[in-house]
Amino acid sequence: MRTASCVLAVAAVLLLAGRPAAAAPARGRVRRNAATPIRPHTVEISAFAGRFGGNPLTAQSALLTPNVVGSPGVTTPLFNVAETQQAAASFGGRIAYNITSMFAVEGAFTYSRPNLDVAVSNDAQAPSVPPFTIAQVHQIFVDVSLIAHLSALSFAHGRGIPFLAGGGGYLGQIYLGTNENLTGQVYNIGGGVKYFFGAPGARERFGVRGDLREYFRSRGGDNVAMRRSNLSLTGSLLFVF
Amino acid sequence: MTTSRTRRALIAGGLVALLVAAPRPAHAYLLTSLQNSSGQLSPGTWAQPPTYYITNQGTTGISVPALVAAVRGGFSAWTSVPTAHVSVIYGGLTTAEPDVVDYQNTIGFADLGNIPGFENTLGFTDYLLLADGTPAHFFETDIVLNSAFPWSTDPNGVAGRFDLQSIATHEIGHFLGLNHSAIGVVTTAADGSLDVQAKRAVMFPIAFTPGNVSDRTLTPDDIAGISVLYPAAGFQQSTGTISGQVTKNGAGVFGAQVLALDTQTGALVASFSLDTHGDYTIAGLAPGTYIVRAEPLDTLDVTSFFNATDPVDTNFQVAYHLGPVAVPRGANAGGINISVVAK
Repeated sequence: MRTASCVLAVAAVLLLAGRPAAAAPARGRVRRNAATPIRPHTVEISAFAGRFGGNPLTAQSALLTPNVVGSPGVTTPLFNVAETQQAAASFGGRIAYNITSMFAVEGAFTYSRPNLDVAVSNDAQAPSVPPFTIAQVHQIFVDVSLIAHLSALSFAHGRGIPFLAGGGGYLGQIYLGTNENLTGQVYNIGGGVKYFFGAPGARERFGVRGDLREYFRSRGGDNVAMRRSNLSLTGSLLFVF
Repeated sequence: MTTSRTRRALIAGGLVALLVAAPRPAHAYLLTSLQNSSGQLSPGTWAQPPTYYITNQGTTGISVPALVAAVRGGFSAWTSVPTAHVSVIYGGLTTAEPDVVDYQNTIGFADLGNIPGFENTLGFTDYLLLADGTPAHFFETDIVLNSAFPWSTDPNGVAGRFDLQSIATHEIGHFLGLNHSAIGVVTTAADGSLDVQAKRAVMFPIAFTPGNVSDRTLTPDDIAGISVLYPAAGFQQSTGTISGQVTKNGAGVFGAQVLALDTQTGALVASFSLDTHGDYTIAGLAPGTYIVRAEPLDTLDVTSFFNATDPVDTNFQVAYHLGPVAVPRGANAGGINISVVAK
């Protein structure tokens, strides 16, 4: 549900971004372009902190083979386990190259340390087992995204500019204690807003940035091909030069 | 050096039986062990690949070739485990009887129907174990299959007949050094006998009902057990262990079943606390995170797992280790303690 609403929101922003650019009078378009803080062939670096959302993982069961004849493959649970990756603080850095005033390519490194909690159920011999943490995970993403700056939606005299982002990369998870590096892939889609300080025409400027991304993970510690999603919200300090 | 050479010692100290609808439920692999001269438990293994012989006598509905095929199929289940190095030699047919001390490993039928205490026994394995070090070494093992029961070798099972290969596979696990596992659930019938509701180990001490062929296939618990006994190259380096204590009111619990569930694969492997400190170890586990659960042997016949004189505590409730359990590759996840409370 959360994934769907995020994708819808991104689609809506895309429509808004495209419509004024095509229909706006030439004078207005020139004014807004002149005000955009994104200059081609510049580099943007940023450091961020935020919250990486949680999500349910694969449910697991302690399966027994029932004493029945003629039903191969049928199982019955001794107990069931529902595993959840909890939300956690995330930290990281990004470096982007502004190819044009609209498009940039951005590499990012993200670290978080979520807990995996489990809830045991359906155990006839232990009817009330409290939820508990089964593992702590070092999680890193190294990914590359394409950034589309929506100059037509810039605000605050061009200091603020929304953007859309999407990309993919490497997922690494080390479960504390196992020393196993469980790798996979991670994809993201979302967007955010940048706000620049300093003189509008300056090549070097500081700024702040907020990102809202939906992450889709494949493999890693889940060991499943099924994609899992986590909503991530981060705030950044940036410097463009 | 302790050597069991007499017939009496052979039966008293080295017999494990597979029963039909009699006593027990539960979890885990257990190794057939003997105390050595220094008082340590030594798991029994074959020092050299054993040669086994099959009696040239079938039973009702089971020809000699069918018996040979079922027994060899049972051995194949164990020798084909990729993480274990199990090697056996088929010596051919024999006129010898099983369950006779003749220093020959003999497998065959015998009628146990009129022997008190064996009325519900589908088969048993007895062994001579030489505890001259760690591990101890078998030097004779026989398997007796009870011809008083109806048998089948049909791979799809036959209603009303026990699957010979399934039972042989269980007994061959004993032949190789595994004791009973308790991963299963039983219910007690009105007459006091136990019925298996479900299980997840070929080495569970009670058989499935006639017509069921599930025990031809080994489970993760069986595979872990045989791989710990006869590890293939790299097995110990690629797997890990869980160890800890089961305690009640601060004191160790002897004979608790401790079950580990691999949260990634769903594999179930279990063991027991084997001393009065409540110490347990589960070996042969794939690296990863586990749910660990302790359970009493309260609905099983304790003597299927331990000596009658062992101080097995069955008066406690099922409990979990409420914390992280991360098994590293080639190392131990220690301190996985479980505190239980009395019923």
